[in-house]
Amino acid sequence: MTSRISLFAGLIAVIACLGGCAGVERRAASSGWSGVWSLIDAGATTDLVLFDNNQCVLISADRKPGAKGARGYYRRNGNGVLCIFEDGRLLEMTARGADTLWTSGPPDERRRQWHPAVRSEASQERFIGLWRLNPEPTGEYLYVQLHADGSARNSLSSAAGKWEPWQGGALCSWPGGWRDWLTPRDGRVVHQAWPPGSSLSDDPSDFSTALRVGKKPFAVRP
Amino acid sequence: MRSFATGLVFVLLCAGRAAAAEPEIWATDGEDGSTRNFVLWPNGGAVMVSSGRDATGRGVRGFWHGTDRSRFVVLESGAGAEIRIGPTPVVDFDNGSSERSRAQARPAFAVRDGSARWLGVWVWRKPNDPGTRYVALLSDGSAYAEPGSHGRWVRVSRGIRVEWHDGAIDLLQFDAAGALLRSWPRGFSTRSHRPEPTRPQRVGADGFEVTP
Repeated sequence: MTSRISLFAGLIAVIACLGGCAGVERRAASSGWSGVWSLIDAGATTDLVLFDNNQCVLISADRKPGAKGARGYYRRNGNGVLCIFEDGRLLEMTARGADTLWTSGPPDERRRQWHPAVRSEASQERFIGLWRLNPEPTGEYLYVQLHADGSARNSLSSAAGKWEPWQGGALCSWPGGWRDWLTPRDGRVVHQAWPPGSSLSDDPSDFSTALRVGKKPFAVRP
Repeated sequence: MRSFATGLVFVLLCAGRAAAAEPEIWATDGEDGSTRNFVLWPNGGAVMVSSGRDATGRGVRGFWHGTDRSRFVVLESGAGAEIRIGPTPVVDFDNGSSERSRAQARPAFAVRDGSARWLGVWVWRKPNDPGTRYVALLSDGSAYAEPGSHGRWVRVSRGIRVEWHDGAIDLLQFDAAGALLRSWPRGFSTRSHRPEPTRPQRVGADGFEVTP
């Protein structure tokens, strides 16, 4: 009887271990790298957003023209990930012990310079990145970049703004006095805008759906 | 004399432009014996076409980065490849699945003969048809079109001829203005019927528009 109990307990332990191991493997394979990473020593504020769908978006304060980011795809590569963007630029990240490092050097070059990359706080992660807002009268969409350091850029102006968490959303303030507020509502993110001189308690001058660039599959044409 | 020189300059300029726009093409075989071609454009765009189970007329789009010794490719499907260049080039292809079942490196070769200018994916709109048609041409002579059509292509005078499994024929050629396509549906003679030509576009040549 005792041996039966110990056999049963052992079986349970093996099953529990297998389940646990499988769980670890799933996390490592699917979500280990997805999230927002701030790239230190990039020369300007630069954040990399890795999505679960193998898409990546790079936003940098010095990108020109406008704040429309760079789109690309990434894949696991050894102990890290390898991203290639639409203009052919490459960026690689790797885990070394407890540190995460990034480089833009050629992957087959041994003497590459590696710099630290820092994962953003989970509470802010859902807002950091590139957002497509309302269409402008020119026919082009307004894009906004929200960086991990609280700075913001938009595709209409070269002047930097700032953003902060506000009432469950992200509130951007621009040098000209405009304010944009992104807030989750009914399974989507809503964008509201207020012109200079107005109060946030006034009706917004714009109300539209905001799209987080990269979350859904890119359309690649032709 | 001056017009000859002007003409020569024009020809050289055209030749230079055409040469600059040509992609690198790498061919390899898949685990199941199928053919895989990577079309790598100088603008950073990549197109992968394959025969067999994964064959589509549209192919798979992505981006690539080149170094002296390697070509790194990432695709919209999550798959990726490293093409290592050397005396014996090889391709490490990874289908992007969570199992990370990276296949063994397989031999690859660069396609540099006259067929290179045709390989990859072509897109066009048929006359009087709002739909877009994609056709993939592979280095093994196979051809695939959306939706679910397959055939073989052969080189003919000034172009290629695709014979589809349903009997339709496509003739793809170049003239002074670029690529030119004529399509014959099944049952139409190529000698007695002269279809309206269309201007197909080679996918990736002008870069990709990535939105949003």
